[in-house]
Amino acid sequence: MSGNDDVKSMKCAACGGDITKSYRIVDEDEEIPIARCVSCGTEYDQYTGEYYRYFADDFTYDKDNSILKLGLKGVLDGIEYEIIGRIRMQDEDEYERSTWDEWLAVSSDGVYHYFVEEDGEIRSYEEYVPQSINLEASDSHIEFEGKKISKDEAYIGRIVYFEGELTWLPEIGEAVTCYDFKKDGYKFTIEQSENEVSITRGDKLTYREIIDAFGDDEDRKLYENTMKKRREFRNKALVYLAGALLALAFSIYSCSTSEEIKGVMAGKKAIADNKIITDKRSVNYFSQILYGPFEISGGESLYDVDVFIDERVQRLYLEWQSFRFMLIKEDRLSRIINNNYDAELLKGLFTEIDARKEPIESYVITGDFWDEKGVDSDGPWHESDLNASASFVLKEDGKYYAYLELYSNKPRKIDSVKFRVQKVKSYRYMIAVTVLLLILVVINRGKSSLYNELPFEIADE
Amino acid sequence: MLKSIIVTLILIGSGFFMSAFLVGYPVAGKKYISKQREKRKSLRYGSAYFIGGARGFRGGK
Repeated sequence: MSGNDDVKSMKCAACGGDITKSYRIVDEDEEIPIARCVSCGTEYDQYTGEYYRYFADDFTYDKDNSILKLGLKGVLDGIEYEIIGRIRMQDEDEYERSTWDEWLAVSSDGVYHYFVEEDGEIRSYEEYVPQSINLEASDSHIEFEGKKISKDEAYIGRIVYFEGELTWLPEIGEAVTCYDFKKDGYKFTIEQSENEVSITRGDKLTYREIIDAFGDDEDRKLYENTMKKRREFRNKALVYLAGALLALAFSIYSCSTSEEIKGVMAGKKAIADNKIITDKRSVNYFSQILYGPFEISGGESLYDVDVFIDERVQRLYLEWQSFRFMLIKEDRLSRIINNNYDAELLKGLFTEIDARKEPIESYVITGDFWDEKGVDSDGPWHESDLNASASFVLKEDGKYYAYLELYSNKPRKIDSVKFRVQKVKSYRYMIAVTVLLLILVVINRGKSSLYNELPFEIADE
Repeated sequence: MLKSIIVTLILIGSGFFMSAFLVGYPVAGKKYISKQREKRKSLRYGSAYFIGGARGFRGGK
């Protein structure tokens, strides 16, 4: 007995016309396959038996990729079994192939036994007679030995192939309502078709048990090789994971370790305060402030400078402000101005600072703050950027000044722009190493599940 | 297995080396000054570099 005879030559149940493959559009743009009558247009989707008869090949093309086959004999837990039949089922809710095989075996003492094969796993099931069962206990649930099982947990399997001897005569496309649930450490399955209810109880088998029972030496060798390689990939993934965690710990430690330089804004000399700068197009405002001196010590280190708008002093609203931050060594500045910190002299010096052949500053950072709003296709928006930061390495310890130059389209309080200098540790490379190692973890974890020398699928054990 | 240990050690070692020696970060101080000095030697007064004011993208407004 075999299941897929004459399925392609089937005719429309309504008019006897030819049936052809077609598509139906669902959820706006998703195409699902259906069968359609070319004469009357009747559609057969996955909720009809005709659909499974028409598309039988799509659900059975890999039916021979299994260690189990008809007539195979094997000994499991001291009992000899012979495979005598098989049914392949397809999950009705899936458009793609989502099948499982139920192999019927008979033991040497004449008892029927099922081996259910799905996604590379095999479960061993035996028929079970429950103490009590009520499939119509209520509209919402069934009852099995006092356990309530929601009818929402049921799923429909459709028979797409059968072969060999079976305990009943199935039909391609026949619907079977299935319940899978656990009770007392066992997995139970109830399968309810139009005229039959089958209850089985089972447990998972390892592939080693199946291959020892039904396989040959070549299968055992390929299985051993596969498991060995999978273990190797799994161990590699563990090594990379350990490395990733170490790199991540180092990154977190570095990221959370910072030392703020104290008193960077303590001494303040305002050289210019909102000086009006006019050109042909606009009027802008220019301020110059010298802060410090403050002590930087600790040898060659990495520093972060954050420059930001303190909106407690003045809100930045629909305007912009640019800044230039310069770090200037005290002894260098003192030498140039002969220790004369007169405001006018400093003003002259800093106004021409870019024109000096010999640079005064040890480092410079520039940036912008802005606040804007508008309307686009998503509606009104309001955005701002009130922070800027930069990192640099400083080798020379000593006292430094911070020179801040501000340029804005509206008058701005000079105290509304603040900055902080922090001695930090580099962590960006360790973050990159963490990411690289995690990628290697994922690759090797995937290989540890997928590597397979056997001609049939075996799940990760 | 041994290969994965070596790869892990190389990656962590490289990350640690670059973090400890601050590879790739801009350097302030003498190195910055000498670079700026060289840059300014090639500039003449009146070039764009000498236009005063902050250098932000709004500066030209």
